[in-house]
Amino acid sequence: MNNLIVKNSQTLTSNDIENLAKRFGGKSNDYIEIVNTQKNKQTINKYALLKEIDNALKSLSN
Amino acid sequence: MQRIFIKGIKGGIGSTSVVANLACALRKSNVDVIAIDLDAKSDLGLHFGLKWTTTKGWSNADSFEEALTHFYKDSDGVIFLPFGDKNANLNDIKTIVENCTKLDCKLGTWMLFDCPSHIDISELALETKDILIELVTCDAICHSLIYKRLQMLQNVESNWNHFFLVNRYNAASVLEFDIYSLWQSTLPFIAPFFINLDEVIKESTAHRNVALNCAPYSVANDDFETLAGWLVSKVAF
Repeated sequence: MNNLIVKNSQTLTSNDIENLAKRFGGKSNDYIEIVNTQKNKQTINKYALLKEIDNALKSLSN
Repeated sequence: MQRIFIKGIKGGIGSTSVVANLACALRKSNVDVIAIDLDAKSDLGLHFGLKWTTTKGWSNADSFEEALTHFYKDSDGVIFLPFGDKNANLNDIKTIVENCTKLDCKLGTWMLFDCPSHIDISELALETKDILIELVTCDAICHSLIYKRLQMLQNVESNWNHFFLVNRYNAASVLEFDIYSLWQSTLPFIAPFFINLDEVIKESTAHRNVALNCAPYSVANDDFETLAGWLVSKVAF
């Protein structure tokens, strides 16, 4: 008989993130925001000019 | 009257085509639409079927009464005013904008201004109700210009509604997808849709017309109808 509770996929779903956040606390962003932030970082790091602008803006705001 | 100012964040982004196509999309709802060409290229009229040999416009007039004689109406009922072939400075542009605003228009009239990319928008005395659409393309130069604009907006007292709208979006480009996704999740004032790159725009201009009349079932025409509907919703709220 299959054990339906076992999760084979390694990909975290929004529910997993929420459960982890409930267990360990510190949840301030939802799953979509976390994914977007990661994607945006990757895009900025991929293109030199975007990275330079991002660095300049960060140093201006500090 | 609702004033919409449309300009490219840099030259050659297609603001004139957007003004012409948007004017016709808005006109479809049977409201009055007036399009004013503030760009010295004076090519807005060509989209509305104005003869190539007609070179005169508001810049050739000594007074606003004389400028009124340069208004035209196209086959869709859009009223437009060409720029003309005389030089005009920022003060002349400010004056024509003010005078056009004083026109006795029906309630619900849309007045679209095709602004040159180099114009300083903070000089135009925009009001709270006005909408300024700054057209951008999904590339790194526009990314740079957008952040410079955001810095400038922080330093001026801007009370108008400012939006960035992506024009000529190429869905096949990885770079454009990357930049558009980044803008959608990080940039304030970005419109929630884009105008696709579509050959129909160039083709319809070649036929001295707009997408609505040349290719009513095109992606381009859908995009301009979306833009028109979005503007109506912005004005309603």
